[in-house]
Amino acid sequence: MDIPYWGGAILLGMLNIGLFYWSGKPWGITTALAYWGAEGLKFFGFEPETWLFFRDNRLLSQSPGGYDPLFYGTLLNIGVFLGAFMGSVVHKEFRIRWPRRKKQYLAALLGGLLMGYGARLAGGCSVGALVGGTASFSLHGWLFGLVLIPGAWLGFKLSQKLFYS
Amino acid sequence: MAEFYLDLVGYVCPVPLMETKKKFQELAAGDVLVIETEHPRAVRNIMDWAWNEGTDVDVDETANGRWKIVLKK
Repeated sequence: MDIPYWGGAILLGMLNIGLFYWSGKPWGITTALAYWGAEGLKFFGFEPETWLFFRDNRLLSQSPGGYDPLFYGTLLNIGVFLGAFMGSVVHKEFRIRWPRRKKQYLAALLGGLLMGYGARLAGGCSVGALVGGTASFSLHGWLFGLVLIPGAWLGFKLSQKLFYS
Repeated sequence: MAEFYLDLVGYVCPVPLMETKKKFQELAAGDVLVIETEHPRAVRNIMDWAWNEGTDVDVDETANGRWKIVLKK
């Protein structure tokens, strides 16, 4: 059961259309992650419900409004994990992989933090802002894509210098 | 005709392709380079690069999610 890359792209596009029809917003990933982080911060006494970022819906790409950590984005992300897991199992590619050098853990942590922070500033990641934005003819998606290219190049050069040389 | 080996397990893109290119340059005609990787994307990368260069490439999945790539200069 092999689906070519373009078949997967069409499938993702159709699923995104379905999601857009059902929820009124295109697919996104990082909004839910922000809620996961905010829920974690509650254990340390923070009150993210009161933060402007969560109160003002316009700043978020997906949330239906107000502080709502249980909104459907969390379910979508679990679906991404399960789908990727099932795909790798079906193709017999599943394997627990460990980074070669200790430095790579730091690189992954720092990269994740920067990407997560950037996605919140940009109102979405490469899925929510780029795919959702360009597909809905929003200028912000194209801007995101344009800036993504020098950003990726810079990140590549920096990580080469800092972590792999 | 010598055989060279590159262990690239534990590295992700773009490191495997870059290391492969670097090592391949040092080879003489007829030499063979054997690479091991666990990164699916790197397998694709290295195959694409080899096809573009017209290099002989042979890929073998030695275990679930682990590949041995043989390149011939």
